[in-house]
Amino acid sequence: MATIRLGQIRHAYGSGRTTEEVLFGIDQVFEGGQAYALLGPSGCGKTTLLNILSGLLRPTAGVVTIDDKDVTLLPPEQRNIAQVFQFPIVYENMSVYNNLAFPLRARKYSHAAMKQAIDRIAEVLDLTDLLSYKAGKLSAQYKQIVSLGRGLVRADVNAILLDEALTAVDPYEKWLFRRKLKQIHKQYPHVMIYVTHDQSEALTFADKVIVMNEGLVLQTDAPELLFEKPATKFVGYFIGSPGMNFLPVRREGVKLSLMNNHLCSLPAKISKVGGQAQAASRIDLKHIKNWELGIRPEYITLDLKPNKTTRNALRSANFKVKVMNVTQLGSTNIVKVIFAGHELLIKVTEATRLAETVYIGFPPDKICIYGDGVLIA
Amino acid sequence: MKFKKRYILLILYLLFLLMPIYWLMNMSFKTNEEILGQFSLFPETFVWDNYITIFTDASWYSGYINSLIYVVLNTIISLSVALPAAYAFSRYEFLGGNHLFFWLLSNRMAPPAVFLLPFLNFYSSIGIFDTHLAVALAHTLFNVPLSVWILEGFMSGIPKEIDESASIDGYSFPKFFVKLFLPLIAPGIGVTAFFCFMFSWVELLLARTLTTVNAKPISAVMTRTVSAAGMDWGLLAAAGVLTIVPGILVIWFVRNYIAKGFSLGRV
Amino acid sequence: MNKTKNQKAWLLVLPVFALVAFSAIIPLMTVVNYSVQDIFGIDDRVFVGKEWYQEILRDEVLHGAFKRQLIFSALVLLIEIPLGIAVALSLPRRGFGSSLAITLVAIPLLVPWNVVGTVWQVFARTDIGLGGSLLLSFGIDYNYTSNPFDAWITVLIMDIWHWTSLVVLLCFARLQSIPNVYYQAARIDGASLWSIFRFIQLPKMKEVLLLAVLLRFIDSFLIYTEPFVLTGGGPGNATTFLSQYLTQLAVGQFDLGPAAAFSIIYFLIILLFSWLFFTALTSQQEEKLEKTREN
Repeated sequence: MATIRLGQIRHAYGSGRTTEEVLFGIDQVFEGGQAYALLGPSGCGKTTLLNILSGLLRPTAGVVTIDDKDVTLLPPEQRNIAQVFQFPIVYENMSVYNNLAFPLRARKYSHAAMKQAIDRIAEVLDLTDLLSYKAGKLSAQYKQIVSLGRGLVRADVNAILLDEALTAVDPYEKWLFRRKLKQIHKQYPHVMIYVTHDQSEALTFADKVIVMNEGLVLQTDAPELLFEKPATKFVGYFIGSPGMNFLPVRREGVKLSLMNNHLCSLPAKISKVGGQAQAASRIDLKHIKNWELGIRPEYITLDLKPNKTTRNALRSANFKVKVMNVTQLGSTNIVKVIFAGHELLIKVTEATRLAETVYIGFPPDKICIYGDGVLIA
Repeated sequence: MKFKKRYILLILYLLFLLMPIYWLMNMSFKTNEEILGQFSLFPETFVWDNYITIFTDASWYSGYINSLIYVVLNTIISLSVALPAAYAFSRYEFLGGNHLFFWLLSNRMAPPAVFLLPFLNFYSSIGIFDTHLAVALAHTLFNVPLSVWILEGFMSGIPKEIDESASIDGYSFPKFFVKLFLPLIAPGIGVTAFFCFMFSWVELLLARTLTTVNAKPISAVMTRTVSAAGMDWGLLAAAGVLTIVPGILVIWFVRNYIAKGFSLGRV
Repeated sequence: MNKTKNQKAWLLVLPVFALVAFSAIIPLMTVVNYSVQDIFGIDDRVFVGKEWYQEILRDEVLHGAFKRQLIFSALVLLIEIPLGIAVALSLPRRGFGSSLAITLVAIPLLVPWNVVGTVWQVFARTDIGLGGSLLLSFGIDYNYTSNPFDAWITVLIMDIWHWTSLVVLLCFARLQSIPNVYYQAARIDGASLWSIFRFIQLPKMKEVLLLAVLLRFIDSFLIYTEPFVLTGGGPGNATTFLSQYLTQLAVGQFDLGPAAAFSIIYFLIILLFSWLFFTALTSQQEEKLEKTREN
């Protein structure tokens, strides 16, 4: 069970005047046996980070360790990390068998060990019938399975990195594929890192999801936490469909309120907040300028009549709002309303009855508070 | 700056390529007496006379102009017939299409020496003997097949969806081809033009046989340096150097296309 | 790429065929015509059937030239293709160095063929040439104008000088188009430089190498101008290749009939060899396989 650590990894491409910085100090721990999904918009540095892990790139600054051994300067072949790329890479004029044998031959496996490893992986990936075919003749999808096999064939790898590896695979196969990956992962508890820009894929596949943006890791958490408590406004927007709603709130001393309704009280000093970006700092409330409330479209309550039974206006559907439009998404509808001059999106079931004006409420346990874009409570 | 071992081979190769060229240049700046009289790595008396002769004598410089005219003409003809054909090869499957390329290339396999007399007869009979067009047409013999192959390679790299979406957007085929498709394969056209230019510029046998006066190419003019007084080495060298210049200009223009890389299509 | 079956595509190919008919088939027919007739004048010709073919096949000089030609073309391919690949691999990949190297490497290709002969004539001569006099000063007894072996070697080296760059440029352009991710995958797999060459670069260069082999074979088999300028086919017949002998027959002695018969045979030989290369290098491409899942 290998543990991989990244310490203050920075990276810039080019040199001199044309330098372009893409990673701005990444601290991250990857534990063996865990499946990580690396999620973020394109250009956020995911692939760069992956290439630094595998050794294809040498970071401009920072340290990579595998089981406390510094491997920052080691080339990929000495790190024992497998990587599968978005674009299927096979050695076209070799048979599938020889393709799978290629990384093993380079590492001087014995003939018997090689055969055993290949048979095992061929069986898992359903390639047994194809072993004698020329890899160049396979369809793109099977080529990608073969390149995945080349990564997985080494049972002793510390980590397997998948860089949007399933893009070329059709949806049904994708699903089978992810299941196979999990199955293999259970047998061989290496670190599995799965880069994707498809969040549903990330959220269903991974034990932990790492959200990146603009060269920084914003949050590393289990999928549910990522959804419930996004560490920054960006994560809130990015995860979920549609993303989180945000509303400005007013602070008086330690009290926060929305439309004169008391939200919560804050301690004078906040220490732990979610996500890596602020992990080290203690934040003084006085320095925060913008306070916001974040709530998922799924959690806003919606009713046709005001609910007078509870006092807390927030808890029950008590704000009267105008419905702007409704978008139908199969079993759910997205309702756009205007609340105090701000657009809010609400996700309701198909069966929910709607009118021109409705009453909405914000369950307090579902509310996240953000100070200057960062989760406070 | 780290020096890579692989550059040793490159440097040796370049040295091998450039030494004879250097020697030609060296000679072109010498007088005949110096060339024949003493051995020197640099011209002892540096003279421009050989070049001045070429640039002032119409029978010399018209040779360059004639060569350039038929080379350009050939490049245009080759490209304009090869472009639609290459498109057909890259997009459609049709009877005989698979081996057609080979049969096209077989044009190149006929010994030019054999074609001399038939060409001469044929071109005389249709009245284009001793014109730039005659040479340009004769050179299509080997340039068209090559152009088709190179262009086909570039075109196969352009996704077919582009053609389809253009036709959905209401582009007629000619408009699509000229407005959308050609710009996409500009690098291919550049590389093809380079090869057409190259093979037409360097050919002597056909060019010399099909012309007498009006379209006489530079390579034929160069044989004039042999006279009763013996070889005029300096003049020959200068003329030789000047034939290399247009080529260097052309390669300088297409070097980026080559550096970006291309893959030739199917075999 | 999936191709549409469409016989209308012939329309697009038509201009090429018209041109080929104009510049190749009509002259070729004329040659076939010559080869079976004895021509005394424009309106005075006799059908002689296969007589010229029999005569040309018995010609001793031709046999010698044919043997020389085969050895020459074989050596040209054996040296220029590997050397070209090696130089292509050693070219800088990007930046100004790359541009400069490409331009310098391409120079010999853009020199008119008679000038190539001239360049080597003035370079290899022992009295006024740099190369020739260098060899003499090293104590090597070299004279390409009188020693047949030296002449032969000089023509070969001239061809290497002239044409290796074609192989270099074709291979280099292809190498440049290999996506970087192939090299990354190979590094992850722990592949050696040799494996990268053998299993990534070489297979990807297959098409350009086929083109290079075909072009180099055809052009070297037809070589005429350069040795004509350099050695005039001599000393003796040492550097008389097929084209030269053919030109002597057709233009020098005006033996049109035998010359035409000769060129038909010549053409067929090149066609045969090219076809062999072509099929050898493309044979594995035939079967196509797309495994589909049965459910």
